Amino acid sequence: MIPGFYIKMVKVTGPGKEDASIGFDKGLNVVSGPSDTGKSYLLGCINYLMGGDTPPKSIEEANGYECVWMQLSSYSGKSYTLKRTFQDSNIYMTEGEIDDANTRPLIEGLSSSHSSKKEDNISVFLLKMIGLHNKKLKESKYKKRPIRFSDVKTVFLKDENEIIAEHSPIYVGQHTSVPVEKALFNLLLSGEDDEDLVQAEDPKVYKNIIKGKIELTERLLGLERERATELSEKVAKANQKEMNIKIEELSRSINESNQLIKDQENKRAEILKSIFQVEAHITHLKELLERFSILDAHYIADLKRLEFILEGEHLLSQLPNMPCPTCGTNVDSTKIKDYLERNNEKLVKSISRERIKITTKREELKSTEFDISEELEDYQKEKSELHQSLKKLSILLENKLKPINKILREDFQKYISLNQDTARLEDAKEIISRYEMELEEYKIKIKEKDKGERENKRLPEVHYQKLCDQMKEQLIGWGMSINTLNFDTNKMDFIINGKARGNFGKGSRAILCSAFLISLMKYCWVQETYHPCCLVLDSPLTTYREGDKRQNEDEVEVSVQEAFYKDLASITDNFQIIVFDNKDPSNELLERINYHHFTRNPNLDRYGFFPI
Amino acid sequence: MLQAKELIVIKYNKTGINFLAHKNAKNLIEYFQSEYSRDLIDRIDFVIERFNDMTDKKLDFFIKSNLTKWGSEFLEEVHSL
Repeated sequence: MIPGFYIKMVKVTGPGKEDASIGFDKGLNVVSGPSDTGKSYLLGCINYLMGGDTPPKSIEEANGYECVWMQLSSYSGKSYTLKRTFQDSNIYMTEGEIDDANTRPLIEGLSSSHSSKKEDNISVFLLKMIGLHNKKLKESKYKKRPIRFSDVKTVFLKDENEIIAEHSPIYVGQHTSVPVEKALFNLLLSGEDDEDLVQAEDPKVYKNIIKGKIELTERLLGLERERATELSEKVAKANQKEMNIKIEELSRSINESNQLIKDQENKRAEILKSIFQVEAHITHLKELLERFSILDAHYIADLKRLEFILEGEHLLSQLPNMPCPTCGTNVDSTKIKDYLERNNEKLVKSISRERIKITTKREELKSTEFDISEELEDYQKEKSELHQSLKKLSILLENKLKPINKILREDFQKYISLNQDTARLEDAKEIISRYEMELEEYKIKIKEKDKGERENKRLPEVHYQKLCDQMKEQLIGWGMSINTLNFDTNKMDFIINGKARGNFGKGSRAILCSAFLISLMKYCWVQETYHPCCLVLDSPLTTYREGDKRQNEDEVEVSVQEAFYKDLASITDNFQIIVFDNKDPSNELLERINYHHFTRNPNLDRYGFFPI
Repeated sequence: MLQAKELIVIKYNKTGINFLAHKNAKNLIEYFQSEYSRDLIDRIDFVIERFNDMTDKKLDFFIKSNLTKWGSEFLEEVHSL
């Protein structure tokens, strides 16, 4: 796999505006021209599309433009088009070339900020193209974190200020980010990230944890020892053999007592059942008596009625007869009299018979009532007897049998718990010995930590040396006289001819920075580590002048400038270098490179990045 | 027979057949001395006192609204016999 990418085209569009675009290719690309022709703006566009926080600094010509496009290609031939408007935090991406992008919907929305958990962001996308996705960087002595594309930007894109910075080119100039930048540099040189870095615990924290553990263990140990002493005191008094015999005895007594209680309880249940039956009898008889009394009342009423009938008959018979109210004829009174008399006799007779019958019945009823009353009394007696025996039984159970049972059980429990205490004591002894062992271990550990901190991973010197050799060759190739070139691992910067790079003049710092970045890119490619294989340099030559020309120190000497371009023009198609500068390469090189010249002259082609 | 002894008068009209006590009836009743007849007369007096002022409609309503209460009483009576 050939990792990395190169920029194919950058385009800025706006409604009603003619597109401003510029094409690039593999190898060397030079965009030259005086200031204010949109060079820095272009650089800003590239940065913005690669997840930069802010859109390019607005210039007058950019008014009305609101969207920036870029086509990235991988060295294996795949193309991607990225698009982002100046207000959007998302970047839209589609596969394919920029010219086809209009016909294809830009579906994939990539967030401009990095997140290692979610993959839909530009950072992960670009890191994947370089093969650096999911690599880990050491952030501090005790922490590591996943790499972000913004970490890589320092070795891939340098604007005109960064290129002349006094601090090391691998730094962005902030103290807090130094460990990460170092880690990235080591990763690029060695190809190995800090994945296997064991995240060491902060010794202070670690010590406190151990101290806490010791404290806790000591406290638990104390408690356990107390418990053991208590238990052993209890257990010491008891004789194991005696105890077992006692337990056996007790359990037998308890069983007997249980059986006794059970028998008595059964008895009690039986009595209760009998009481219930007797009560049922009593209720039945009582009801019977009540019904008999009603029956008697009826008999009495019948007797009275008979008397009334007789009286009525007697009175009625004395009334004279009237003519028939319907036909008006007189009824023969003697006939009626005869009839009535006859009937009367019959009536009186039958009534007296009836009276006798009813009286007999009443007598019978009385005798039955008497019998039943006696029976009832018997039942009542039985009931009260049953109640008494029930009471006796309950007293026996509650006051005698159950208390005895309870005492037996308590005794039994006592022996059992003593028995358990013996087992617990064994447990406690075991726990104590375990705590003691743990305590020993912790004490050893805490001493070990006191000896010193864990060693940091160090990159073998040979990597730096190889990079130095590469850079020395580069600089010599550009016509500079280099005797010694070393790498200072403290400052993470180079010492050239015994002088730290930061101490050189602005122009030299820019040239040295460029040489470093190009060397690093070549080195990574040769060593097959990681690099975007793309380099964007703003004004590497503008401020350079060779040291002996004191009157204009910061101007690059023409020979170096020419050698610089000449050397870069011969770079292979495995890389892309984009140089923005106001210095032009010599004419003979122009055919071999991709060259754009901004004239800032309205009469000449081309004025600047934006069409006029 | 009651008619033949001039104890009741029968009136036939729109409301149907009505039986009224003949003026002789009062005299006859006064001759009754038995316990049973005394009790009967007491009960009749109570009924007259209680319900004499009521119209047929009111009486009907009174009976209907108390029927369930009496009904259960009668039921018990029937059972106990």
